[in-house]
Amino acid sequence: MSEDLGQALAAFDRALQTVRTGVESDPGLYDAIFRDADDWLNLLTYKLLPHMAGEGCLFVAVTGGTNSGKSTVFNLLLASNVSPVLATAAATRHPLLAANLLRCEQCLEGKLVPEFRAQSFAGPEDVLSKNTAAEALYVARVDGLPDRLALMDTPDIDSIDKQNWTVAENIRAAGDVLLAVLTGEKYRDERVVEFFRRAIASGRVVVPLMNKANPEDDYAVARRQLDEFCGDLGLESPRFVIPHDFNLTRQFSQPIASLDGAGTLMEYLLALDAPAVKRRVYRDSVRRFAERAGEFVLQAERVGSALRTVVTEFEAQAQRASLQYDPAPGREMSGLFHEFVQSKRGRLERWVGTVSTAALKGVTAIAKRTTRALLRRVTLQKDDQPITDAEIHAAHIQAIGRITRDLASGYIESSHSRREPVAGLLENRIAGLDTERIVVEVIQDTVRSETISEAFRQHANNTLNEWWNDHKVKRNVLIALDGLLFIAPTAIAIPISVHTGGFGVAETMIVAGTAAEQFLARVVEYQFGDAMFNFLQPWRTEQQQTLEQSLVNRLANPCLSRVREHLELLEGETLTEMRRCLDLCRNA
Amino acid sequence: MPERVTDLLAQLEAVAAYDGPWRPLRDETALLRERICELREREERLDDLLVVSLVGGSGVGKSTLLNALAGDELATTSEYRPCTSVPTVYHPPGAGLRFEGWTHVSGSALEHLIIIDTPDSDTVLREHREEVIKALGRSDLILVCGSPEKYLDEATWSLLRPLQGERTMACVETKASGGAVSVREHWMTRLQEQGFDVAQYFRISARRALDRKLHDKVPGPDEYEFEQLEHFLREELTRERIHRIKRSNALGLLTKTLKGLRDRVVSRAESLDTLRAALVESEVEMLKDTANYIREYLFAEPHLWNHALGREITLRAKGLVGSVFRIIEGLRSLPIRIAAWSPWLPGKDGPGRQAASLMSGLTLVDEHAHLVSETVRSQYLNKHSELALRFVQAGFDPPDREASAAAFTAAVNERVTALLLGPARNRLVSRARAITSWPSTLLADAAPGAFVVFTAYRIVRDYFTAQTLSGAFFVYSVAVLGIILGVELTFLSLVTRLCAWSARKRTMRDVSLALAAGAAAFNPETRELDACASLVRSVDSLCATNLQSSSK
Repeated sequence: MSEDLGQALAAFDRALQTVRTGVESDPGLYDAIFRDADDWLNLLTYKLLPHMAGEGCLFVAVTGGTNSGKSTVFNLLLASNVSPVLATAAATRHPLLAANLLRCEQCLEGKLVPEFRAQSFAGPEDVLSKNTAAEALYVARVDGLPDRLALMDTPDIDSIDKQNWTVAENIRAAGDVLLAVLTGEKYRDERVVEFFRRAIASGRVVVPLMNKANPEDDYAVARRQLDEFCGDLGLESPRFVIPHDFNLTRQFSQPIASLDGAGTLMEYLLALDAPAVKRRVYRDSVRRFAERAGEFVLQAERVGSALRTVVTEFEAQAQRASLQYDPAPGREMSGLFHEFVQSKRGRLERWVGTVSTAALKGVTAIAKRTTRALLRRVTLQKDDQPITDAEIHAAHIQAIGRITRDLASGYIESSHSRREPVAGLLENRIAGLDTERIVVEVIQDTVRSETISEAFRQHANNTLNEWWNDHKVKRNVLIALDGLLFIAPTAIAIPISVHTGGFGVAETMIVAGTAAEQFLARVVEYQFGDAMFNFLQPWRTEQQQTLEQSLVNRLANPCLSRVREHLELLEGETLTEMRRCLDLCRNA
Repeated sequence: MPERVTDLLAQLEAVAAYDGPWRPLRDETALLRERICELREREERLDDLLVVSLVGGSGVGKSTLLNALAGDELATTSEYRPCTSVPTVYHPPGAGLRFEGWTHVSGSALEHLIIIDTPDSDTVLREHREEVIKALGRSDLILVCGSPEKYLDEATWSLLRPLQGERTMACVETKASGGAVSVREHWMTRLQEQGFDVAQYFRISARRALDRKLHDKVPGPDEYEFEQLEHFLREELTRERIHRIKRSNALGLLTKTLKGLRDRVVSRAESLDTLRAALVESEVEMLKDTANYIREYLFAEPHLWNHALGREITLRAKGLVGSVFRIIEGLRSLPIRIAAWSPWLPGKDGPGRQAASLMSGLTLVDEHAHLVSETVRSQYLNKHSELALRFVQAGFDPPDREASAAAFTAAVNERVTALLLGPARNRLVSRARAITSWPSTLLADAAPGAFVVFTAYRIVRDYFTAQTLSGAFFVYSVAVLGIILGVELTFLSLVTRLCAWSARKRTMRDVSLALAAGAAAFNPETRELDACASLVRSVDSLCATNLQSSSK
């Protein structure tokens, strides 16, 4: 049972480390996911993982507000002047552990509290130093202590030196019994009460002790103050008290008395059933851990879904932008009809048609030029409509450029309205975008594929074939008409050619064949007139999708790269693994 | 000094009134307005009593200190935390200041001061903090109370940090006992580290001072510096000193406000400058493109100008050559006239036709000409999208594209229309006048006239000499006349073209000049940019002068 739990916790820890290293680079995101997580993270790191190492040894941590006398109490418990006592606040900066020789050695070997870097305590300046790493723990050997007890002096939990708080909270997680050192000024301070509330929630034994109490009226004031404190926390425990006139220099060995007749504090601590307390602490720790870690997973999921929303919205924006693109079909589109008509004609007609189409191209060019020149005379200006393929092409390039820039503006705009942590993830990326390069890239991507794709040619052919097969009568009429148009002029040409000696037959045939093909293509095109939009739809969609794809690849993805990176982590297997481990913990 | 402050506030108010599209500045305005309001209020309260508040953690002895100062049990004190939950306002008789919901006690002998005893800042009752914040907002001098246990508490410090520089502060160590002064040193060092400027420090025992006052005893040394504190409050806080404190508070707030503006707004001024440069560049490009478009499409040679000049000449032409020219011109403009009659020919309302009508002085069908075509518009939209992106990148709201485009096309239209109606038309008319003037008509008609006269003379002479003219003579005469007329007409047509060309060239230059002079392509954007750039400059100069002077 416990084995399973150990494995589950270890697995959870591994998954957690993955997430942690993944998001560490972004303070905003880290904060969003790991907000309020210190509590259970400490439980995991400082209690659950190393739990059995110190079996049988009860860790008693002396905790409380700044300058409330923690070090004094610590010294009193040890009956010797170990920890330095200063008049100024927030003096103790590193935890000091006192234990007997055996435990001391275990501790220094890293067996008891492996998360702290245990060092031998050399002198008072050790714990007062500002320059030592936060995870340092000093170990002092005090021979009078039994095996089952280790005492810890801790930094404060409420001064402006916030690194002290962190150390204190780590200690709270590692300790089994917390000695709450209170004073008349501090017993209802929010931070102090909150600190012990959390400790109780994770199963710690909290022992309240009123320091600097007024012994008048059998500690009437201290009693009420302690009652209020216990009331705030819902705590039931014997209460201890140290009078304000305690003479420290003379009375180191003076015991700390209980208000409830439960003997001295040291007696009470020694009498605690260590294995029972440890079991309880352990059980409650697991429970609280499971509870809080469950909340954490939910929080991570929430952040993940927020990231997902951004990705979806950005993609939707790209899609909307791509829908603004209205690709106009070039000349190739009408070529499709001719292609189709040609494929349905007889061999002779087809051959004549091919030759004549080539001839027609030249004629058309001349005719067009003439028309435009005439038109120019009439309108007194050059014609500036995009008519040639090159002009259509240029117009497309401009349209795509505009769409891309607008989308980039849209992204910047929408990133302003985002909240943390998403805003932080987006901001740098978007600010660093080289939009002009992106515009060029998108244009290259999209306009290169401007010609009709094989897929669309297939689609067009199928549609036309379907129509051809479905309309039997029309088909036959068209074929007949084609024949008539093709043959009739030829039929007229034969007598003429007999008369002129063969002159004009080929010419007539070429003209007739072309006319017939053109005519048929027009008829077919006309038939599709209403359905033209639908007919072109796949081609348009294809173009728009190409654009969308390019926009997403070139513009959205660089913006979202960080978001996606983290999303992979938050939506991937890591969280599933965490959930599985948590289930195991809950069941255990 | 006061005029300067008023002046400064007026300038700041101009900044705070900004409601334009630049986000960094707009985000500041709410805070700025609030600050200006506060500064004005402070200016008004300059002659009011000094509000002193006692602030600190629960149980450090704020109420005891108040009682000790008053020499009476005004505020309740107790061993149990927290004790005070409603602020006590202790003021001299007749003070006008009232605070809703707080306890007011009149009868203070400190006639310049109002002392507020605040609840705690750090216990589980969070609503007490709200009261403290309210009291801190109204106070001019903060007496930060601390005991050896509670002088380094985050709870109190977190309340004081936002007020750094805006309030005068003094420390009071309320529970002095023994000779140790280590708390004083430590406290002052830490305050200094965190950037607090605390001038006064009083190490007192409020409890003993109160006891002494209640029992009418003589002040003793066990009260430590209580007497100094009392002296400070009673004697040193003269009217001038109070003024000075209030002034320095206001100045602190002002400095803070300006620093904030400098950090968040002025630091981004550079992006405005680059934006401005980009804007000018795009504007020049856009105007060049538009002028090009007008030259190459709208004013395309030769149709528009030939047509317009030809029309002017036909209206004025006289003489033989003139009449022939009129007929030929009539034939040449036939397609245009046919197009005007026939309802189905395209391009009837095209910009070119409209321009031609403007130049010929014809009334238009439409009230306004639309000389700028879709091409210019789409070109504009493209340029605008580039610019809009830059604007958005610099922190602006996206500018309104359609409105800008409409404004631009309207401006171009208006200017080109004015040009065509005015200088261009005048130029054409003056050229037409020159071509059709009497001397040139006579000059042109001289050759064909002379030839006709000569031929007539030959006919008459031969008639009287009874010679028969051969048929060839008539053929040759007509041919020669035709050649003379042809050469002259060709010359005339060449001159016309040359004139049209020169008129077009001159007008084109006018168009370029007119566009460059007035028709700024991105007018709304330029306006917004200039508005916020000038505000930023004024903020910058405000910061430069005031921050420098206050640091002195």
